[in-house]
Amino acid sequence: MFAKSLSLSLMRSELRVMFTRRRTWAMLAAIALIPILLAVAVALTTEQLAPGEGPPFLDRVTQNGLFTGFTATLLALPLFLPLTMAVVAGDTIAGEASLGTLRYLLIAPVGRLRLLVVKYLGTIVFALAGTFTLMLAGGIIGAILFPIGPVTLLSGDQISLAESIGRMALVAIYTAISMSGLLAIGLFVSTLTTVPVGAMAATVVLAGVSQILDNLPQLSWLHEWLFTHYWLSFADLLRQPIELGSLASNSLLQLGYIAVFGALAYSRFTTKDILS
Amino acid sequence: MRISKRWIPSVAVPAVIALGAVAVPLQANAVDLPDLSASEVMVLMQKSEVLEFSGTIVKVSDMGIPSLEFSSMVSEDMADEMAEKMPAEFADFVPAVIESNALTQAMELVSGTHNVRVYVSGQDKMRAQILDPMSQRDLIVNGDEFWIYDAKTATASTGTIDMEIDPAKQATAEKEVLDYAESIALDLSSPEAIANYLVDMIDETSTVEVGKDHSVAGRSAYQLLISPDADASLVERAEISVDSETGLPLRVEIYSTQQSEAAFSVGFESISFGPIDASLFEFAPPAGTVVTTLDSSDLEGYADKDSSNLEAELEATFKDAAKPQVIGEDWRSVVYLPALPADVPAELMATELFADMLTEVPGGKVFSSALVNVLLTDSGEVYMGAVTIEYLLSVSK
Repeated sequence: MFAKSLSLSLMRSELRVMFTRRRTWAMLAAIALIPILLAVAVALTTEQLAPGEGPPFLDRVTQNGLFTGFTATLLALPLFLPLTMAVVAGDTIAGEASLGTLRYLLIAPVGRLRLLVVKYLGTIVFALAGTFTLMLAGGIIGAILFPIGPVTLLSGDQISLAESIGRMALVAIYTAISMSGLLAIGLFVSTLTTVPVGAMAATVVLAGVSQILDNLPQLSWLHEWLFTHYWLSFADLLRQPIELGSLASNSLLQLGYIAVFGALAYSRFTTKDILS
Repeated sequence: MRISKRWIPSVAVPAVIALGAVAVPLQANAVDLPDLSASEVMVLMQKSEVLEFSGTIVKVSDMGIPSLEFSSMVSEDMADEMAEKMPAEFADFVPAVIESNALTQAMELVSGTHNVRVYVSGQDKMRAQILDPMSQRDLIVNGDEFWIYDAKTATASTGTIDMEIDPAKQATAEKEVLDYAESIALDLSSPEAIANYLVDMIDETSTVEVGKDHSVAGRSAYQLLISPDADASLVERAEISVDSETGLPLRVEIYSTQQSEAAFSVGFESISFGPIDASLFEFAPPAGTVVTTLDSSDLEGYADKDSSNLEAELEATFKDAAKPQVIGEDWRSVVYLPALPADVPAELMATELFADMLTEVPGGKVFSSALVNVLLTDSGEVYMGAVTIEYLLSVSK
């Protein structure tokens, strides 16, 4: 009972610290800026994109503002979203260590495992906040600048406005799940060092490497094991009937990464001498 | 130094995952069905009358040639723009966007991996969806109406299948079209169609055996092994997985004499039997779609056998071209064309990639892959078949 309420209060304080930091809000604002810039750029140009021209979905934005969120997710996935995730995940342990606050956190009767779990859950909350910000900002700016209405799915079927918003939420959740493996890697890297910037950079680099490997046909046997492999498969949620196969594969893969890197982070963090 | 016990999870977790990755597929293969002879399995397959099912088909081809990148993410405009901006030394890195037409689409469908979802309800309702990355192509047949929709270009074609056509005429047309599609190996997205084609090939020149009982798409299946006796054939063997309950062919794998991995495999990854929501077969093109109405006379007798829109397009394209001729029979049949179809895009022939794939032989050039060899003679004739180069050369003489 005591342990449970302790965990809860630790979680609460972790989230309070995270969401009172200016850096968190700056990153969420930057994420929100992606769909806004995209929609404004599309609205300002008079040139009509022909279907199939430019990145997928971009030509649909002018007909239906709700597509702004999908296009923005697609554009943010390769670099920008992983970058913000790496900043948050890389900071978890290394950030406390560099500020000298890790010692004090562990002086309180908080096990190291519990601290890791709370730190990791905090990053997951940030991932959800980030992907929903992307979708919400996209939906709002799209509604202001363009007509909105029933969304045409990839299969050519139309779904109602309510269902469209449901699909947007699903894509946001899918993308947050996609980030969960990367966040676990970031957490582990963060236990290796007391320099948060190093942990952040290493995490971003790994996301990039994984995406490059995923594009090499010579390594096709490796592809389904790469944590970035299903990132762009969120498009499967935009088919009718909805294709949940990639959601299941992606979740299983990310769980695997969470298990492996969670275990590594546990082993490393619980055997490490905390000097700062 | 003693290593802490706390490192145990870091070793145990990856070990468990590795074990699971190995053990799960093994377990799925442990199936034991009542023994049947090869002819009994073929009867089971022929009697198959599954009329309502849905599933996901995965088609993988590994023909030993580089898969041509008809990248759906790069448009012609983008490539042009890249060519403009890049310094001349980097020109080689500009993706060559090859004109997209029926033939290049067909080649794209033959090479690489594709996921296709199919929904079949009765004899006159079906929907096939080719799941492209960030896009999709749909073929919907609903009674006498059909639709072809491409999400990437937002275009649709529609038409009606005239049921009043003289049945005799329709049968001939149907046969011609199917023969033609088979001769150019296009009807490739349906395990059933390929299995039927292979079983038709069985005669005294083939050995047929029943392989190991196994599991495909979560269903127990018999395995039919067909090996051609002809030395000239490039086909080592074909394996057909037949659902033990319904007789529906679930997977076809074709092995080449040239490599150990399957050169071509098409099969259900998942399948479920049972009624399908009728609304799935009702299609109305979304606003902003460019709709073309096709003349039904071009397409008579198509829809019920069709599994992709390509055949229809190809037939329309090649209508005026010289009809291909088939020389020889069974596993050694060779398709002969008096000239290369005009539709083969010049850019494709000019690409270095393609040039690299051609080898010089006395009397012409050979395009060689694991399952198909194509001989382009110096006089412009084309011979192709699933046979060795030597055999092609001997036929051309």
